[in-house]
Amino acid sequence: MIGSTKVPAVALRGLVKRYDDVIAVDGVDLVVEQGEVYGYLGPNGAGKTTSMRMILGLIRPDAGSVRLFGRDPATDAVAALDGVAGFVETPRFYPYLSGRRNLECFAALDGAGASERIDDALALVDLSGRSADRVGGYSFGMKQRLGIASALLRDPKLLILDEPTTGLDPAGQRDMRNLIRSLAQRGLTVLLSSHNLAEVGDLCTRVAIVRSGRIVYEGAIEELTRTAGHSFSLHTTDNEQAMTICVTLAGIIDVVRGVDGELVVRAENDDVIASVSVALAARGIGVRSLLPRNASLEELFFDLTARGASPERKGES
Amino acid sequence: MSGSTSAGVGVRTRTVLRWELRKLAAQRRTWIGVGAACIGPLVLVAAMSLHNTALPKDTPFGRYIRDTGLAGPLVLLGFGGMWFLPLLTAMVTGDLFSAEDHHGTWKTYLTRSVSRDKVFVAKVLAGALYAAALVVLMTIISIVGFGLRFGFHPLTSLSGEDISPGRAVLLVAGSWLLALFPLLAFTALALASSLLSKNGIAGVLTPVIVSFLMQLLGFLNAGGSTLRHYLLTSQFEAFHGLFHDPRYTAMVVRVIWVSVLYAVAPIAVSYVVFRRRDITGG
Repeated sequence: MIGSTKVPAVALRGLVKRYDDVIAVDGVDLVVEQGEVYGYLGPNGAGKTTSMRMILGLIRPDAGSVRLFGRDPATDAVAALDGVAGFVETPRFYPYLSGRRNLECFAALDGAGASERIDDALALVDLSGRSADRVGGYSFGMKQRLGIASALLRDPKLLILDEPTTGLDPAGQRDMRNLIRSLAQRGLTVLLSSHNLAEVGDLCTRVAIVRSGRIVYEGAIEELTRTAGHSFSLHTTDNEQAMTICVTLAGIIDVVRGVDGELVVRAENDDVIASVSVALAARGIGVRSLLPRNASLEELFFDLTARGASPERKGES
Repeated sequence: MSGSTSAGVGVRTRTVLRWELRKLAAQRRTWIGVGAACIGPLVLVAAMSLHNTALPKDTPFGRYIRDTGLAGPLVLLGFGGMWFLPLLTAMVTGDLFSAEDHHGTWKTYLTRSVSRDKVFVAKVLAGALYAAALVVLMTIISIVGFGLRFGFHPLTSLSGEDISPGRAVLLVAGSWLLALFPLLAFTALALASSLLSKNGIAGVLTPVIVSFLMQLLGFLNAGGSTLRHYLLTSQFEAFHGLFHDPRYTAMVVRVIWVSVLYAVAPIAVSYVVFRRRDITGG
């Protein structure tokens, strides 16, 4: 079944997980096609990790279904996880064993062929030189890389990574992204969970945004950027007056006060913003600075939920 | 097909067990238990070698401990069987499941090509093998240690007959073998406690506390002699049946089925819980 272009790598239908009164995952529908690098984006506590655990068969959904290449991990995890690898949150290993010994252990549990990939996997994540050291002495970044190596032992067609760069220093984050990019270029399907919009934007072609257990956006990254609008930070000699003027201009979506007293101007496109400076100058208001700003994930969430998730995009595959 | 497709589904319980044993071998506590099982009998040999040490005359075979090296292993079994063996075994088996929770490794383990059934069976077998290894070690070291120190002389049975050294060695070994049955039941309790509590301390202490409470019940004779016969700790005394003429076969048979009954419930509950358990930690 793996390799067939008709069967999605991941298909979630109406996935629900409750913990007492808390609904951690609330009716998630998601399809990741083979060969895609798919971002599963949301703030901490949005239900990303719970979804990932259900995908990997670690926890049982209360409702809905998971299919990995058409197979259900809830009924036969071993068969469903064939060709699937990854980790949720921080990858964990036996601290009293060396990195290599850990990989030997998990390779044995993966079956014939996996043991032969240990050297290559260690080399790929740049851990060959430290493979004889106990994992208990590894840094966070080394454990993350060992997690990737452990996943690669399974020769996966689908790689599921939950916040793989969280906790890494900037250099580690860059290396991890490069590693994921190179794996994707080999044709692996990657489902990447993250709370970092820039990371997802950098690596993924499509994205689902999840909030409070629900998908509030599903579609292409470019579409997301367009939906969110073009945002600028504006400082003037009279911000009160400037705000009054800006909201009347055509193409301006909204203007709000920023945390530092600046005006945050959202426009339909970059061209509209030129009219702002012209209009302010015409009223005698000086522009101290007018800078494009990267909309934060929180702002995007706010936008999406304030305007409602686009129903025509949500759930599309 | 992916690289793990055909091979992965076929990973055998034997492979999982082998790695469970390797993990045990890599942990310090395993060797502390093994060391204690080796040193414990030798400490008793040394203590009994001191002429000012009083003989444990109120214990079966205690009065003969300096007359023949074949009495010492039985005294050790009578003394230490109820708490020393369960404690040593629980030190390792009481953390077999919870260690995966502690290290957060379930999510790594259970996303490989191995079913939960096989993982469960492998861990239970690893615990049982560890318990058996401790019993074998203590049997050999106590027989050799006491035998070398006090000589392999005939042993006087509980009904007063002399037993030849060769036959006595077999009976002593058989006595320790009988002790393995209640020990395996305590091991089952430790494994269940480890799995259900996800806590290594609870896993280690539960069998010890249960053993203590049962010994207390037996000592107070609460429930009468009938209940005492069916306490798990009482099964460590079943070897007495081997040293009567005629043998008390009922005691020997009872140790097996009573121990099995004590083991079945915790293992069955653990199996059901483990199969359905959500792995949320780590």
